[in-house]
Amino acid sequence: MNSLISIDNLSFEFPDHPVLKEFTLELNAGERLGISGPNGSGKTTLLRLLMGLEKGAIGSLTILDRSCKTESDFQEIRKEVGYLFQNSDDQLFCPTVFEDVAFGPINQGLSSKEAHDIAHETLESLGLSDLRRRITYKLSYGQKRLVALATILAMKPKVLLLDEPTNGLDDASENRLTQILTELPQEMIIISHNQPFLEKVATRTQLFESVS
Amino acid sequence: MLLERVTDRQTLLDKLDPRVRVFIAGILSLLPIVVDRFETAGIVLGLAALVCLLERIPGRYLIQRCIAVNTFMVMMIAILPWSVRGEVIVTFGNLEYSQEGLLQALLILVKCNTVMLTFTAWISTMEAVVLGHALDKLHLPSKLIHLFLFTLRYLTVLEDEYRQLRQAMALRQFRPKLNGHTLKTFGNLVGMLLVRALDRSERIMDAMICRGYSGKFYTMRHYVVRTIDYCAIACVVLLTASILGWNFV
Repeated sequence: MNSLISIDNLSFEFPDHPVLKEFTLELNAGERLGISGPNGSGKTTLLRLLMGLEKGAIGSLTILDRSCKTESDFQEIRKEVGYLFQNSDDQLFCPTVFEDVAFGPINQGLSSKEAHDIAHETLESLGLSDLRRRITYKLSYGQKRLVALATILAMKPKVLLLDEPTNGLDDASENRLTQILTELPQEMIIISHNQPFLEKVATRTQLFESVS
Repeated sequence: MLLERVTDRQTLLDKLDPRVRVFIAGILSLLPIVVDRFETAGIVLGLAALVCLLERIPGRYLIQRCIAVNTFMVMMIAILPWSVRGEVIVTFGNLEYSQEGLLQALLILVKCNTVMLTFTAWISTMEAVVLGHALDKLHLPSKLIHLFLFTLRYLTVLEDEYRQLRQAMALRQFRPKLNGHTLKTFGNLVGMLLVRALDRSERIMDAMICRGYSGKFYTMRHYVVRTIDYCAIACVVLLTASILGWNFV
C-alpha cells in the first residue's frame, strides 16, 4: 500500500454550480500535502466528500485501500480519518474539554475507563492537561483549536484532514500548532492560505483550481 | 453573563454532591407548597433566607430576583381578595375585598418567595454544566439533558453572533426607532440568527458523525455520595418531617 488517499477523476456539483471536475489527487505514505486555492473554490467541499458528508460525486474515491461509495463505507472511514473543522466552535459540543476528547473513543466502543485514559494521554501529549476541566465555551480561540485537534487525535486516526488550521491564530499559537503537526506521525491533507505555514509543515503542495 | 453562577467562590454547599443538592432543593421547594399555616410557612421562609445568608449570595442579585417575583405578587394581592368570600375590608360597587382573601394572597406571597430563595441558595450557586450532569445522573430523560447541555454550549455562541450583528448595525449608523425600517431591520437580524443557528446545527451534527456519534451521549463526570451528603439528607428529612408535623397535627 503506497497511497493512503487516492482521488481519481472526481466530479461533484451543487445544484447551482459545479465544484469539482475530473479532480485527481494522491496522498502517499509519509506525506503532508498542502492544498491552497481561491476562496469558494471547493476545498472544504473536497474534505467533506472525503468524509462522506457530501454525497453524489462521480468518479473514484479510495481511502486506506477501501473504495468509498456508500454510507457504510464512510462509517468505516470515519473511524480512521480525523477531520479538523474550520470553526472549532462547531466541533466542540460537549460541556467540558475532557468529555469532548473522550466522546470519540467512547463512540469507538471503548470502555469508560479506556476512553478516560486515552483522553488523558492525548491532552497530555499536546500539553493541554491544564484545560481538562475547563468549560469548552470559555476557552480562547487558540485553545479551542488545539482542543479540537485533541478530540480528533484521541480517536487515533491514520490520516488527518485539516481545514484552515491556522485561521485566526496568533503567532505563538501558530508556532505551537506548526510544531505539533510536524511531530505527528500521521499523513495529512492541509488546506491553508497561509504560505509560510505550508512551507514549514507540508512536504508537498498542490494548487486547487476553481472549476467555473 | 447569562450562564455564570452567582458567585465564583467555593461556597458551603459546594461540599455536597450536586445530585444531593438538586434532590434537597426539590424537597425544600415542595415543603412550602404543602404547608398551610403562617407560622410554618414563615419558618420555612426563614430557613431559606438563612441558607442564602450562609451561601453569601450577593445582595444585588437577591434584590433583582425579589423584584422580579414580587412585582407579580403585588398584582396578585391586588386582585385575588376580590374573589374570596369573608370579612369585608373594602367594597367597590358590588365587589368586596375580603380579609380571608388577603391572608390567602399573603400566604402565597410567602410561599413563592420561599421557593425562589431555596432555588437561589441551592441551585443558582452551581455551575450550570454541573447541574446538567447532576440531572443526568438523577436519570431525567436524556433528551432533555441534551437539550439543556447543548443550549448551555451554544447560547453564548449565539449571543456573540447577535452582539456582533448589532455592533455591525450600529457602526452603520442604525438607531432603532418606531418605524418600518427598524421593524424590517430587526426582522432581518432575527432571520439571520435563525439561519446561522440552523447552519451551525448541521455542522455540529457533521462533527458528531465524523466522530462516530450513533445516538448516545455520555457525561464523564462521576460523583460520589459521602457521609456529609447522607448527613445533609438526614437533616433535611428530619426538618421537613417536624415542620409538616407541627403544621398538620
